[in-house]
Amino acid sequence: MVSVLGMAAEAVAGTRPTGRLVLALLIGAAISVGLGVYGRTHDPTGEAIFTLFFTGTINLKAWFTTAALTLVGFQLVSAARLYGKISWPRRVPPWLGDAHRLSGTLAFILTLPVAYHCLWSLGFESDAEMTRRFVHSLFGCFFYGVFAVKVLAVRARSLPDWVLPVVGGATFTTLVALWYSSALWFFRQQGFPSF
Amino acid sequence: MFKRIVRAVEVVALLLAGVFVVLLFANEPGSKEGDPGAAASPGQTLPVIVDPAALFAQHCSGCHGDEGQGGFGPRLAGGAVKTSYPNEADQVKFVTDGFGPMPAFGERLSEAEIEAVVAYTREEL
Repeated sequence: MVSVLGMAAEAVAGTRPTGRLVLALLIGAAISVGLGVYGRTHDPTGEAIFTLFFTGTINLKAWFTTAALTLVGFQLVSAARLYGKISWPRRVPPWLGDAHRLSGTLAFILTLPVAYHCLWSLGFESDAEMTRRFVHSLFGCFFYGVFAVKVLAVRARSLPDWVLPVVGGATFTTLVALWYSSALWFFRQQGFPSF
Repeated sequence: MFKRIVRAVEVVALLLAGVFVVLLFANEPGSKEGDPGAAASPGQTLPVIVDPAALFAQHCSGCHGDEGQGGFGPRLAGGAVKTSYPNEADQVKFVTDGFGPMPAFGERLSEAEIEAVVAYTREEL
């Protein structure tokens, strides 16, 4: 897995800017479609996974998604400061770039058990009349694709300036949509904080 | 030092992503677990040991909540399931055959287990 992603990053970095962007988009699309196909074809198990100190898997998922959204919110603010879109703090802390990367990585890690339960236990909701589940399923698959594009775009050089903000913004927006259609829905149904 | 931590976490993230993919394919649901009565020869009755609470915790709570309070799947507790399925046999058929996001548990659980867990959702939750 590591070597596959490493090769993908090298392949993206080793082509012309337009080619790099197209290649990154193709890889992201393949990941999104692959997850969707798995979720659609896999027979959902309906089983719970680990709960850690939460009372149930659903509670764990709601809180992990909320934590991931918080970290991605920090990513948004820190990226805005790194690119000079906001001027607070007045001096950019030397650790801010690393903190930006760390928060994104931790957010990604937090989403993995959530996505695993969604895909393995629940599957892809293809019935458009089940609006919340359908939209959540679509955004869930899209998230990992757009996240992969962002990671590849960060490592590729000479991409157009608009690429990173657009892809980063899409990643953030997708996670907001996922949180809105799952964790927020859960807290509204079960009450807050529902650990 | 901080950079090293960041890189280490990134490596861990990549490894976890790999584990994620492997588990999706490796952790397929197995065959019917403990099929009570399946080994009995004609005319012979074996004692059936089914723990419906454990079955519910393993197979149902992921969607319907630990206490059947609802989650991804609808609420079952407090008589809600009896409202949806006044006839217990209809609920057994639904659990056995599945529909939409509801898995077909007839492929994983024995009849006795399904009947036991259905009774549990109707009487105990």
